[in-house]
Formats: sequence, structure tokens, C-alpha cells
Amino acid sequence: MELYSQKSSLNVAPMGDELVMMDTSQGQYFGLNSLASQIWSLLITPKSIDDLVVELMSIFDVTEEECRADTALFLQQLVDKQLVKVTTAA
Amino acid sequence: MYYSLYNLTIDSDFVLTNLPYFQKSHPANISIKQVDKLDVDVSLMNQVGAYCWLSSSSFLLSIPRLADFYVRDGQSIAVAVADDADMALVITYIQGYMLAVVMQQRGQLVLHGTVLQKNGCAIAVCGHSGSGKSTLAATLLTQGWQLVSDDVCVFDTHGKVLQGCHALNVWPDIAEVLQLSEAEPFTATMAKLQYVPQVSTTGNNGANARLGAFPLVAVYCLSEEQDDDQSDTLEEDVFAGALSEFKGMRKFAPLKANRYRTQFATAMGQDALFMQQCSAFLANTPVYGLSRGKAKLSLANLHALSDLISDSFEALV
Repeated sequence: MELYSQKSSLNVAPMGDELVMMDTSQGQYFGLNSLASQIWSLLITPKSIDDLVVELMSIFDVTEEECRADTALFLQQLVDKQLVKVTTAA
Repeated sequence: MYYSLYNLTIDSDFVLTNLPYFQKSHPANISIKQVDKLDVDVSLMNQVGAYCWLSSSSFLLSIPRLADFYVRDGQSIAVAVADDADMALVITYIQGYMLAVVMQQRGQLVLHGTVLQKNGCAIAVCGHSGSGKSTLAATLLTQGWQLVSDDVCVFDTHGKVLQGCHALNVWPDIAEVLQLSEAEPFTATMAKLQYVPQVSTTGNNGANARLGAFPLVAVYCLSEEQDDDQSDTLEEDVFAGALSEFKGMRKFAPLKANRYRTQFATAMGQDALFMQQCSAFLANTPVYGLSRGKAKLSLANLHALSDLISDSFEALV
């Protein structure tokens, strides 16, 4: 099972309820909107997509199917932009 | 002679202009020395421009036939002046560019903007060189605003903007249109005139003015962009300007674009610091894009733009 967590080389600064991040290893800036920022904050410790879906469903009024699809899409974007660390649980 | 700028004391061999000065001081925060020749090893620095080298703590600008400027550790400026150099221009470089670099080296947030205040609350008008910052500021000065700093917006460690030099550089045609009769040439080689506005002794700005630091109420980022739907015009078919607010993370791009000498600050390794300072100081401060259109600014334009600023300011305070 894959676990996702915040990459340590990121500098993160809140702007209102959104986040600006700078990846020092890439020299690039990224922005996360309010919802994305909340998901990001959950990744302070490594989590599987199942963990995230459970936590997000306790926060938002959303079906599991919809939540899983949106979360998977967002995680893939974070992976593509190299903003999260992906490890494999034993 | 000792001077005061950005709430720091400067011990300068050069006669600085339009700054509070005094004869004696405790050890100064910044020293400005005139030297015969600079001996700087640029092999340890990155070249970031045709005549410019820097590291995280040192900065060298070498302008042929004018002067070599060496800024170090946020504490000292050494200047080797060329023979027959325009001294007024040398001093202009010291008071603007070099002291801004000093503040960047000291780790303070510096934006490329002109700061004005009314009733002790400040605004910053930011924009690239030639965008009309000083021209718009000159217009606002005729409407009850007070100058805090021209072209350089320096923040203290609490996020307030610091009092800078009491002079504004304006184009001669603008000075004429705005009837700034006191504006006069400052150097033989600069096209702009120097305007030193009268400092008001009235109003509710006493405490912040005495402290030399003002809370920043809003940032206005000038741009020439003009969308098709921004079609508001004045009677003479002049673009009336358009104000739009950047919110949340979208604030960051215009702030970064208006960081003072942003490519230098990046080379100094200050990108993460800049981001943290924007978050700490400006997360709750409105940041506006102020589109001025592409045409040369007319008096009608300037009044329309200054009205947009003043109206939004009044709604905030």
C-alpha cells in the first residue's frame, strides 16, 4: 500500500486559507487552494488514500466514491509535481 | 555626518539629501565610506548583470565613469567614485539602490514601490520601472497624501513600512501638469526632477510618523494590461483604469513580481524568506492589480487612477 506524506524540502506559507509553497529542490512555486490546503495538512504524517478518504469524509459531506476519485486525482497531481513523498507500507 | 533612514542610523562620508541628520550618534547601524579604490574578489561572487556581482552577504555594482559600490553584510557601503563623476547621481544611487540592497542583506522585506500615507495608514504603489509609480504618487500628493518612501518599500520586522527619503523623482511634464513648482533638477544627468513635498503637521498621523513606521493598508500593483471587458472610459476616450483584487495564494505572484530587484534577491538565496515574510506581513493586506492601460498617462487618467486608490483606501480604513 502506498503512503503519501509532505515532502520535507518544501517551504510552505499560508496566504489567508490558501497555501503558497516553494520547492527549494525544483526552484518553483506552487499554490494550493483552500480545499487542497486542508488535504495537504493531513499529509503531515504518511497516509494511504484509504486513510485520507476516511478523514475527508468526516470533514466534508461527500460520497465515498466521489471523495476517492477526487482525492486520487489530487494525490496524482502532487506526485506529478513532486510535492509529496511516496513510500510503501510493509 | 549621521543620518536617519528606515529607522537606522547611517554614518556617511557623503552628504545625503532630504534625510534627518545630526552630528553625533552612538555607533551607527550602517557606514558609508568613500574609498580611492575597491579591492573586491569577484571570483567568490555570482555575476548577475553586466556590471553587478553578488553573494548572500556582499554586492558589487561597478558603473563605468560613475562609481564602484560595494555593499557588505547589511552594514557597510564602500564607494570608489570615478574622476569627474556626477556626484549627485552617485548619491542618488547610494540613497536609493544601495541602501535598498543593505536592507535586503539585513533580511528585511523590500518591495519595488512608492509608499504614501494618510492619517497614519500607508499604501504601496508598486510596479516595474516606467510603470508610473512616481507619477501616480505625485498625483496623490496633490490630494492630501503624504510621501513615506519613493521607489523602495521597506518593511520592519513587525510588517510595518518604514519612512524613507522625503523626496520624489518626477518627470518634468508631470511636474508641470500637476503644478509642482518646487520640483527641480537634482543631477545633470537625470531626466527626472526631484520634488520634496511639504510635510503636513496636521492630521492624525503623528504617532506613526514619529515612530517612522506605518501599518500598510493595501498594495496596488500597476500594470499596463487592459482586458477587453475593462472598457470603462472617461469623456475623452481615455481608459479610466481598473482595480481588481488578488486573493489568497494569487497575491503571491504580483508581490514576487514587485520584489525589489527580485533576481538579485533570488541569487542572494532569499526566496523562502520572501515567501514567509509575504505570508506573515501581507496575508491579511489587500493586494490589488491596478490596470492603467497602455497609453501615456494623462491628467484625466491620473485623477481616475488616484480616485480608484483613494476610494478603495477609504473603504478599508
